[in-house]
Amino acid sequence: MIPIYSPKNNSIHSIPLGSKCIYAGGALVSVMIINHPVILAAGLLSIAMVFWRAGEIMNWLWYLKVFLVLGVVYFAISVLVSQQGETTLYEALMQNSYFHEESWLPFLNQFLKRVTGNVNPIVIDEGIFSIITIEEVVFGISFVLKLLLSLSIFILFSLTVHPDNLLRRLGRRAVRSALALSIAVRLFPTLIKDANDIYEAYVSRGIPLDQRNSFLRWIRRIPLMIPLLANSLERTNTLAESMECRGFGRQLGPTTVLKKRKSGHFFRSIEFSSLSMVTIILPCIFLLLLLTQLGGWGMKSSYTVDMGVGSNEAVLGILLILMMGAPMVSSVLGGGGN
Amino acid sequence: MKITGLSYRYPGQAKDALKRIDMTVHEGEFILLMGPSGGGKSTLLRALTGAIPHLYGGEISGDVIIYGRNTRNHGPKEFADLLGMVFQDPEAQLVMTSPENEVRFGLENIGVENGGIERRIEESLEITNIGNFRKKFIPEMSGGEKQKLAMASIIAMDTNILLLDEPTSQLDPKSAEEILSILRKFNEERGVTIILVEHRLERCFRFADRAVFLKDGEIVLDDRMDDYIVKARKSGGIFLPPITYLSGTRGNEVPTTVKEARKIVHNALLNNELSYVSRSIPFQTGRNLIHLSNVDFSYGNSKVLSGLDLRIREGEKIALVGRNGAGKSTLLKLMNGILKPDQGRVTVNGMDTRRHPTSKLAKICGYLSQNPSDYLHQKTVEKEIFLGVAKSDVDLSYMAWIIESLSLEEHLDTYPRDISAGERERVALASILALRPKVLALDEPTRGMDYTQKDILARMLNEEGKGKLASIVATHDVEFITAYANRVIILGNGNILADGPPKKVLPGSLLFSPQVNLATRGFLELGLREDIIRPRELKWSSKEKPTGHSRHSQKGVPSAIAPRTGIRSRKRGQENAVRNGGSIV
Repeated sequence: MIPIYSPKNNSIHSIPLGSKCIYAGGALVSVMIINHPVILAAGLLSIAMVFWRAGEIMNWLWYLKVFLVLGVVYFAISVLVSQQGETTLYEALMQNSYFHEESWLPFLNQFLKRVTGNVNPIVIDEGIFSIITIEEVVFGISFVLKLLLSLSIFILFSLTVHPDNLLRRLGRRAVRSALALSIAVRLFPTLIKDANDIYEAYVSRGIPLDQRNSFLRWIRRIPLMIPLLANSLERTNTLAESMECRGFGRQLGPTTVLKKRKSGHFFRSIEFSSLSMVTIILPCIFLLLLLTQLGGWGMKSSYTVDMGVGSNEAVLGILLILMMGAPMVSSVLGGGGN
Repeated sequence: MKITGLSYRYPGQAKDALKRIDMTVHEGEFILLMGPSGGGKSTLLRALTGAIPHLYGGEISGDVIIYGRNTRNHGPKEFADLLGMVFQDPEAQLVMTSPENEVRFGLENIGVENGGIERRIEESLEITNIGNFRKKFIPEMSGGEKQKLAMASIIAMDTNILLLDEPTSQLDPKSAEEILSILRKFNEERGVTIILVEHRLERCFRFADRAVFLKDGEIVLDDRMDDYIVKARKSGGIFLPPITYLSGTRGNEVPTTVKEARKIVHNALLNNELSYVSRSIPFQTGRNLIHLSNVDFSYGNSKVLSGLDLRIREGEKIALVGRNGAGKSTLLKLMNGILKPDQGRVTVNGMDTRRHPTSKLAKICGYLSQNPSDYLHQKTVEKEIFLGVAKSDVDLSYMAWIIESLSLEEHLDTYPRDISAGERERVALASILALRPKVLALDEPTRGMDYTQKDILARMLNEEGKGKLASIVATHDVEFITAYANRVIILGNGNILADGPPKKVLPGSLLFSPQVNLATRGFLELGLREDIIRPRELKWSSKEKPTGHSRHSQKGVPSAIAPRTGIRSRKRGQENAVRNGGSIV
């Protein structure tokens, strides 16, 4: 089952929503400005520690597995299609007849000739198909790491932020979108249960949906979408009725918004949580990261074979580790309490 | 609340769902809204909230005036601070992900002050006994907890009127009692007007001031409870709880509580004025059909069944009871291979469920889940019923018997989702019966069924296959068990706590005793639903004689509880025999 938010009583889940937003924003920018794959890998390890601390490591790995497939596909396409770089890694492939005019390509040419009338529509440029350079590989790895890191930040946010809290924080500005998110989180397990119940109901009527052949099994399950959709629509209807019966959409508006509007105070007291240190630690690290960028530390070309880790890269790596692991640092310093 | 000449037709429907309803509801009344399924009860509640016509559309005539406001001009959200509604399915009415925010949702919508919100959250969760789950993730809550939360979110809004559409249908007896006690408290102590739709009258009959009986969209009876009892008896006595049959010596003393009934029974016993009826459900057992041997089953880290052993034989009618979450549904699913045991072995007609697909086992063990809507995706009810049956296997006379017995003739060409919840249950049941399984596993099949339909279901299960069909029904409906079962299994703590004939198992249960047994406890030690005892003097005139199920009706016995083996008078001296033997026939 797809992992979704579930409440947990630990220090990462307890970090205030505002701090998590700042963390997510800062971490995303950091990932964007750093290209060195070793440093990015270190960042990924760092965020893994945060997931572990949050009790979400298995859920994160579930998502990672899914997105890793996407990453590998991207990596393969990038490496095969790109012509950048100077250090040829698989030059031997240039001689490989697999891509040669006499293998499958002439068939394609024959086909295109018939369709377009062009005598030789595809010009064989061996370089296009067969040059794989180290720079492309490094760039591909960096990109995949960036993808995984960015997604990890979003996953961490969605697995540790209570959707109701998000709804309350957004208030009137995005109340409907946030409510939709809250309802989606609330009903997602119900939808999965519904799908399962419908499947059970049908096999219990002797309809052979439980075949050993997995392709046939999935094909035969497609019609189950109809009762699933019908059930969901019925539930949506009752949900809408229930919401209206509890005054949703009244002109009066939610209490919290009214109170803020009427209060007229410019200042309000806030409770300082030691877990909120993430909001203090983060901007400092972020500033340092920016300074290193301005100093040219992270300005290496994407297409470089220089994989060495010098003192600059080491500092940059430490900063990124701190950046990605800020909630972990904060939770350790805060001791998990307020 | 004043309803005048209210008629309503759903969009695209040929028949009116409500016909010329006239009714006035006074402040502080507790009204029990009864009637057969598909009679228009839920539709009437929707009309009272303003959801009809504002959310449903359709054709409407007449007026519903609530505190001077007409529902034609005001939708549900404008009545939110006056009127609260609890729906049948808690799953479909909870919006947020934590209980405190769920309660807060309605309060913020109606503009309750911030300080008041926190107080009301606290109080409403405490009243409904879910104060400890304040921050729990709603999808992880049980069905009973969700229903209590739905209740809490409505009572927190402190409305003058509460409308409830079968709020206890998914709950075990204890949770249902808790919900109904809350309702009574709000009605008696806070003067809240309550309109409750309920099929299991034995639970709530005593709380109500007034009964409204709705049939085919029309109000057939609308009376104070005493008058209703008299009129209901005259018209067949189907919609009366079993305990009301323990009438006083002169026939005018009708008990609605166990306490009152005990007094009547005691007096009648002293005066040697008791007559009783009884029956024994034929208990023919044949060969083994299902065998569970040392079965363990867990959902993740949560162990549901542990070392369970069970044999089901041909002809057995088993009732499976237990609190919510005791593992009843899990056990049924293990029987037809939907779930496979973690440890141990389950065989169906000698076939190991691990080695055979469920679709194959379904021909032997049919399973009906709790939600009949899961079964509906054909264009008509008829197609739905015939779906799993191979053309070569169709036995038209058998199919006609199913359709007629379950009163589905008039719905055969209807789109299955256009019929009521109770009717859907019958369609799903028909589609399983059509497969002619040797064992039938039914999960809460009586939800949304009235007494007549339950009686028909019990009879069908007993008659099908010339009594050879084995059936196992997971249910909280104790009164149904007494009409149907010849064996009762109480499930708890991952295993079987009690197993035996109803007359031995139920009377000893603190949670699952039927009302009649409670009323006679200590005097007679009998008292299942079929063992109705009545003073001899109470005679039914031929005019009063019940009309339903005439082939089972006997002189002086209400048809809804029609006994199969006759009426006998008894003296006090016979009590010991009953105590020792368990059967009084």
